[in-house]
Amino acid sequence: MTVPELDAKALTDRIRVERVPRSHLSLELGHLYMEDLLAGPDALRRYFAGIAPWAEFVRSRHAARRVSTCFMVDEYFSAVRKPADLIPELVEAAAAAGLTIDYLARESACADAGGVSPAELVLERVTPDPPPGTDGTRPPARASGWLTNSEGMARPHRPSEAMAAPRRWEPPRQNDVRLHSICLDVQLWSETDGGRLWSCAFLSAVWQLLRLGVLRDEGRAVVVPERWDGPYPAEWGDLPPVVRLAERAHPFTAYRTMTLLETRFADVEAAVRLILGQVAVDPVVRAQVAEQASREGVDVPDELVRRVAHVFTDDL
Amino acid sequence: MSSPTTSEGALAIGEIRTGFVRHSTEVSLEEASAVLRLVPGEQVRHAGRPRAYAVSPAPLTGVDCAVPSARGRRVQGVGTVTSRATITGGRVLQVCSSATLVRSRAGYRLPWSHYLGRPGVVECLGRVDLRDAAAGFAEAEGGTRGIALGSIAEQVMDRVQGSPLLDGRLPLRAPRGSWRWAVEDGEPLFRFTVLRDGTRLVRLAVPGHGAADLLDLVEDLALHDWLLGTVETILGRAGLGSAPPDRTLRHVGPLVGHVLHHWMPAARIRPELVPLWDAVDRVHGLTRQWDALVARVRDQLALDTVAMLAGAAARRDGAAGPG
Repeated sequence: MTVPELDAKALTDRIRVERVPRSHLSLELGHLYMEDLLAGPDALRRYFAGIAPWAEFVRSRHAARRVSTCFMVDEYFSAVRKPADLIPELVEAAAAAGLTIDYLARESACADAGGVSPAELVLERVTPDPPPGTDGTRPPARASGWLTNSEGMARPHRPSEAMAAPRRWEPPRQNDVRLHSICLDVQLWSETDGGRLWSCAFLSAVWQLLRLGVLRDEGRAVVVPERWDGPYPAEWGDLPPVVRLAERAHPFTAYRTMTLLETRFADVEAAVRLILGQVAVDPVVRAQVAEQASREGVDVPDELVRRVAHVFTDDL
Repeated sequence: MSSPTTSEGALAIGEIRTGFVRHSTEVSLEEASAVLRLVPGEQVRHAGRPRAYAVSPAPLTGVDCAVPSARGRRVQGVGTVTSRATITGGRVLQVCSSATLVRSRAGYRLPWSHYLGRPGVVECLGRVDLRDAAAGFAEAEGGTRGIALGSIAEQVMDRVQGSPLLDGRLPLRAPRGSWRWAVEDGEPLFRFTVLRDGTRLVRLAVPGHGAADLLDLVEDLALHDWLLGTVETILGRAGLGSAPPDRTLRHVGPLVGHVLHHWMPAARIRPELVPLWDAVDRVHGLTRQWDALVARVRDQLALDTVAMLAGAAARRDGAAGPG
């Protein structure tokens, strides 16, 4: 008698993780603070006119590929302008420069996307950069609210040594130093009377991960863009996390992102890149992206932070 | 989990800890899934048959330290250790922390994002001898161990045991089981060592099977070895055959209630690997010892029952006798 070969599946309940559609590139046309948005329609028009040549260049480099555009409004730290006033002004100013904003996002949605906090999910995915000598004996400090690329700057004070002779100054040292260090410490949040206040850098890192479509909550996509019909509301909280403004647009999430910014944002984005360099993607999502990309013949780096590009520019 | 797999010139090493879930009753699959949510947002996998089994998502731990060596060589390794926690039968908690060692192409430490792009892999920056590393980790008592996989596994275990969903009460006191393993490429190999402190070391290579398959096998061996050890410990405490029946029952009762039915060798390993389980079992006599112990427990319980019945009958006769 021939015994049939048994195909043993150890786990009957397989993980289900939602797939999201992807553009080749998510192009962010800017990210302005609320005070910039107060400057009025002329300032916005000047801003988009300055960005437009870069956007055109990126588009021409991605001809025949799917590119979606987005814009994030900072209404997390202050919300002085209403969506009903600001959104039409933004759309008009972009259009005057020949640009279309496909998707508009609220920064506060990175902290709270209705029932789920993308920021909390990202925080759980942080695997800190270990300084040399880390063998796993001690767990990395989680509660500090800081991330660093180096040793010696965010070094904890040891009270027992307070009375001892002062230690010699020791320079900080970048964990992956070659010859000289560039040491960065990044604050992820602060505690306020109203609860935890996420830093701009951390929310911007979350925003990049939302655009890359790599966050899931128990397998569900965290943010799904929604169309908004009718006049825009008076409160930002009444809008979905990401609104699709354009009638027709390529998917919001993409294999790669590119962000066009003024040079004054360079520090924040250096912090964003440091954070993204310490975020581990859900292995199931990682495999999905790789599979989707290889099916389409798209090259996607394993390294998350290398999927994220920035262009810093002031007036041309 | 992102399973460690061996490829050309790779070595997977890991440590397993086994113990009871700190909870007074068996946890259901739903409870096990909640307890094992080690990475919020990620899902817990589970199966109901042949017995309840749940596997956590795999949190990562970054390391930059020496890799193991039997000859005491110091080679720097950088990368991530992956851990998984499992609950079997609602009762037994196992944590395995492991990493696959590979030679680094760069020869120097790269930006951290590079290593997070290859979860569960530790890249060796110097000239590493993977045989020496395997021996240093899973054969020699001395040598350099380097990455503290056991500490990482214990931290994960403590995190699971600290879940507010568990009441913190152990059904039985039993020592934690501790295994160190190395899965290598190359010729078939199964080398088993027991250290004086009870730690089990195993080096193995099975052509055609990567570390993910073999981890299931080693985890299953560790589970059954630990069950056997637990029963032996408890029977030792019970003073079987010499102690009064009520003391025997106090110790043996929980054994029957919580432990004996978990014996289910090779329940979740790949069918091709069952002969290897059987071969290990033949040499080390796990099942023979288990059967003998279980028979002893049952015989003793039967004897004690008879003795107690006889005692009760004697007291009744004595009370009802002529006075």
